[in-house]
Amino acid sequence: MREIVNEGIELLLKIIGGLLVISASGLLGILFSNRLSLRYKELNNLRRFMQMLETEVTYGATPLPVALKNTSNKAEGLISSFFICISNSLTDRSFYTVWDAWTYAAEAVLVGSSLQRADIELIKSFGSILGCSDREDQKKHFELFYLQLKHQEDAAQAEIKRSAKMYRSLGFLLGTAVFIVLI
Amino acid sequence: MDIDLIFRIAAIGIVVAVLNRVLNQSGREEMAMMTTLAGVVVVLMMVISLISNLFDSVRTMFHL
Repeated sequence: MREIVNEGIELLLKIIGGLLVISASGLLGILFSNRLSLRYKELNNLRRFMQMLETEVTYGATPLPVALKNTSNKAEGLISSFFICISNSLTDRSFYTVWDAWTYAAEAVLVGSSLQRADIELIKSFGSILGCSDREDQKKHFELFYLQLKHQEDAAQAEIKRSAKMYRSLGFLLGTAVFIVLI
Repeated sequence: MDIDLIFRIAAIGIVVAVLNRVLNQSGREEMAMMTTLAGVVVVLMMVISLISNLFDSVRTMFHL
């Protein structure tokens, strides 16, 4: 009688442990998959809000810190914190140039996010031309930046289509494999 | 020598087959090949003591 109860408890513990392992591994897979789709969403957001920023700067002729703050109020999440960081460092006069503030904010805010290294380098390279030339030149630089961002967006979209489902299934399958080997 | 081992090997075989299919489908063919090899190595490690016993008994039987 006692052995049967013990065996039942052992089986139950094995099942609970197995469920934990499989769900943990599956959730990891889902996490990786979500990071890909988050990257695409962030790139898309970045492009839209840069367009808003451009409109404010070129047509409203508002100074950069104010324009950044206004745009960041309309934005949400990562891009908002990025813009707010630049705006604050510009108003605090902690940096000499817009480029320095931009690079600092990119390193501080964007590095830990779902954006890849290439995206962050692209964003940093844009900071070097902000506010350095006249209105027409700025517009042309903005256009170039949008084109490059769109290119990265398309790459992110292709990556999602290729790998999202794979990461999810991979998570669950590897969890099952570990469960089988251990039990 | 219990029936558990056979079930376990069968389950690993199924998991490796599904993994192989998923990875081939997404285009990562070299990773599929690697997981197949890893599956073979894992099964081999599970079975190695039994194989050693088998060789021992074959050796004692034929050198007798």
